[in-house]
Amino acid sequence: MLAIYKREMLSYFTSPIGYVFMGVFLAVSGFIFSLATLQQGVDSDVGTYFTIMLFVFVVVIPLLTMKSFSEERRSRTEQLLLTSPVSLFGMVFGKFLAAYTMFAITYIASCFNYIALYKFGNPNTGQLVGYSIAILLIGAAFVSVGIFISSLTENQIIAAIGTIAVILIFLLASFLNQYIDVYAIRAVLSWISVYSRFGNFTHGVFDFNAVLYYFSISGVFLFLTVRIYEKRRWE
Amino acid sequence: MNYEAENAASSAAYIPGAKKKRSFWKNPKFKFGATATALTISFVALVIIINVIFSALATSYLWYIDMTKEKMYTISESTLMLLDPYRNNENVNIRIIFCQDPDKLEQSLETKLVHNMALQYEQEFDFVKVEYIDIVKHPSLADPYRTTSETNVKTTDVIIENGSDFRKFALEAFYTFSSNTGEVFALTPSIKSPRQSCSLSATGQSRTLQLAMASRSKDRKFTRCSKTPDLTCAR
Amino acid sequence: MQTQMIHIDHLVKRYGSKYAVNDISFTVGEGEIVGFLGPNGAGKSTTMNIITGYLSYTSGTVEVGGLDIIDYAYEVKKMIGYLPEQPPLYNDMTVEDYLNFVYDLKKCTFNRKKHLMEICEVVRIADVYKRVIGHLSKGYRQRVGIAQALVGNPKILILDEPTIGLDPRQIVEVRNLIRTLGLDHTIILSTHILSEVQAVCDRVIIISRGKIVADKRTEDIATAVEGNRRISAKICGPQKEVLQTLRAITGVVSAEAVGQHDADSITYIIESQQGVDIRKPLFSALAKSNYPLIGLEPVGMGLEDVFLSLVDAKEPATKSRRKTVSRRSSTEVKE
Repeated sequence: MLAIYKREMLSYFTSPIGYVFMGVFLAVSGFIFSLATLQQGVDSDVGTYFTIMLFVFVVVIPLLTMKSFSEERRSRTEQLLLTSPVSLFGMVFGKFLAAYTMFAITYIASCFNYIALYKFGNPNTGQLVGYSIAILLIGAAFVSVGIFISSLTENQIIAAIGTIAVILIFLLASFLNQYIDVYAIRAVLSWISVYSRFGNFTHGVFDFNAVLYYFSISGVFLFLTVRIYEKRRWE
Repeated sequence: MNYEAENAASSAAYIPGAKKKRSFWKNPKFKFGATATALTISFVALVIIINVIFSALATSYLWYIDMTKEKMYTISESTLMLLDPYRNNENVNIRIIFCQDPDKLEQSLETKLVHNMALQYEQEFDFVKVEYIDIVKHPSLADPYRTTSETNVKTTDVIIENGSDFRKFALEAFYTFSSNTGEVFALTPSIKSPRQSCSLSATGQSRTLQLAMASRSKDRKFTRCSKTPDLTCAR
Repeated sequence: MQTQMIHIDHLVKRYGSKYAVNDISFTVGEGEIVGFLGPNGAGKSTTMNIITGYLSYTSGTVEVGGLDIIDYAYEVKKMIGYLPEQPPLYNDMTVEDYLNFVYDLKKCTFNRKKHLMEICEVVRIADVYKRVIGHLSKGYRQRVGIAQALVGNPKILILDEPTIGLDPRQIVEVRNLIRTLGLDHTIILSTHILSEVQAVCDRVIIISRGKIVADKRTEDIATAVEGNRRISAKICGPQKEVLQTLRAITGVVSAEAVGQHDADSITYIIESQQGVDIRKPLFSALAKSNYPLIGLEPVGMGLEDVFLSLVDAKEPATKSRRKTVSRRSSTEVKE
């Protein structure tokens, strides 16, 4: 697994993808951050920044994950991986970890943004930490979705689009709620929705529920990826 | 290339002819076909169930961490002191009635805070119960609380009832706000702790029951003006 | 020490109602170089994919080095170096990075630098070590593919069409390489080039439509089908008398004159009983009758003939007979 992890990390930096991802992420985050906080002055709420960033992830994370498995399938290099003494889980997790490391490093780098907060105001550190944990977990969840979808197809573009679609569903599930009268359905939709759970964080509550949920998404999608490969091998 | 020694060393562990009992999970039955699909589905279902259970527990037992500086999501000491004497009083049965479904209450910060307070009281004190009525779908439910035939009950209203006595509070009652902009400044301690006078006729005697919804000490404020300290926040 | 390197027993791989591999059994001993021969779609690649663990099978047993490939998947995969039909190369990596990656993947414990350098020398890619794989020519790419299979010094090498797409010079180089490797490793290679099998392998397994149709040592393959042995002899002398003499030799089943290439000698095809070597009696008989023997050659069915006859065995009888007859006449003409 470590071998695969190293290789993936190497490929993120020998091809443009790693740099493009980091560049776009940092640029956009910086821009939105200043828009949401410094420019608003008195009225600002750092929660807006985080919420908008969630939507930025929709586009930016597929960049990272679209090639993970689809390229391997297309160029048949997965044959090398599957005939080596590596477990399926190790293979999937190695790739996941590499993509996630990229995401996590870039996010932590973007935390430089917050320095401005301390300079001009008196932010709630606890809240920032809470937000960051939530973002890191949501990032893991989205990355795992991307990994799963890329294992379904050989075409990177399709993988990217599919990932965008699924992430959007997770984010926007609760947007229909204003039109729905039945409490039960609304409850289900907002249960699914990453966005509505994140709402708790913006209101200042660190919700363990949400943490478990984000972990679950990661777990389920990684599990499904392993199962897909298991299925292919046996058919 | 002579690697005999090293190869021999690695294969020394295997006794020719010895059969390892096949690991249970490697049984082909689990790898593909109907059983495998069932296994996959049941795993995902299990994760969902765990999440739902955890969810239910967390919302009823209020598992979360209050990240706010002002600790808005925790019951203050003074409230506890105020309401303690009533704990064992059988005649006291407070119903806090909200006029919307819980998930709608969670969406806006103002209603969320009030709702959360109510839930905390429910958890802390046996004699407090929180209920929800849907006055949009069933307008007749609001009728008992309309003091005159002209008054309307809004979805953001909160009704506090003890026995046959009740008082209806508009959402604004819990906060002080600027009458110009309608913007909320602070949770007014005094109003947030409505002195609920309920006449209780028990064996002909009337007793005044003081129920403090929240008695906030001076330094616990909800304020948006944390960055510009010279704006006095109403208390 | 395992002498049975690979043992396959009643292997079946079924896709729905179609059988890719239909009851195959064979054993490969240590140090053998075995050729899988067969038309496209016969099941060669499928069988190799199964042995290496890329695919799983419907039923049967596969043991490598005495270990079942399902129970001991890890250990088995460590023992095998695999070069699939399409070499699994990462085009964005350099050869160096790639081989290091494979080294880690296979969890090797040797001295890394030394081991990889040795492989590069054997396979002759040392001069492109630092180059990006995507920029290499087909020949080099194939060699990198072979190098990858060699990492970790696995006991068994499984090579799927190793010379495909190479130019003749490269083909020769690769074949020599395989022969060299055959001294230390057990090798299975698959091909549909018949001469390759003859050139490189000790043993041939012919697969057609998922079944093994022949499994013999290379030199035996021709006789195995033909049954009898045939010799082509150039003899000077009057045809009728020579034929009489020939037919009188014990062990001769038949003798035919097939053509006259030289002024004074005629070529005869002499068929002898299986297992009977009539060359010496032939010489004696002809010498006694004073018919000079100026040429003597074994005539087998070439591997092509064997292959085609076996592979076409399922086709209507007339067709195959016609094919073998035409083949026979063409080889006869050559003689």
